[in-house]
Amino acid sequence: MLQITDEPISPELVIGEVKREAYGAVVSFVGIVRGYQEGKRILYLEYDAYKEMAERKLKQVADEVRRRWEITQVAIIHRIGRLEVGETIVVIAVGAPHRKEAFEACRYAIDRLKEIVPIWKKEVWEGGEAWVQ
Amino acid sequence: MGLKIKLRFFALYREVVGKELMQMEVEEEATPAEIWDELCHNFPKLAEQLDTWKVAVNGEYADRYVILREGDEVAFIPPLSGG
Repeated sequence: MLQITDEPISPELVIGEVKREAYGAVVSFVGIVRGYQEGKRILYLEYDAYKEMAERKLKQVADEVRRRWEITQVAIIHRIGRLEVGETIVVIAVGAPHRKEAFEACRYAIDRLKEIVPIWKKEVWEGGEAWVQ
Repeated sequence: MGLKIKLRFFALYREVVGKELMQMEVEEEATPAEIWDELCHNFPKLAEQLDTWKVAVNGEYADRYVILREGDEVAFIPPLSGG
């Protein structure tokens, strides 16, 4: 599961994707909409993506993870459109035989997502809005 | 003879340009950098942005000075903020 969606995300579903009989660990990262940003009350966020390319770049992230930590499975789902405070933006789940590689790989995956996957966030607060640069 | 290419805009650039998709005819050997300069001329708000744009040609990151070909899809990529 490596996808961009405009539907609400179920973290449980993503975690289920990476469970294997040989794995003793699943580490997940769940990104959620914060109510405050630099002292401003956030009303909602709006996410945009270059969807076809973004899904291919998610696959690249997963391929990189599997090359570095050989026995791992990766699932990533990122939401786009309008997201309210408290809603889930992104879920990354990594399954592995042991916790060490699962933690490391999950951290790597979210960092790489931010570096290479073409997705953009607009913050909307009372009296203003801006695309985050 | 010109080349027909497809331009795509996202996030801030989409809002400035006013659409996500644009067809354009460009000179032979045109590059994304030349198209960007022309866009900045037509949409001065683009020129106000820091020079941080990236480009993807046919869905893969590319050099700003790559020579474009007939039918290419050229996407202008603002600074990323996913996650």
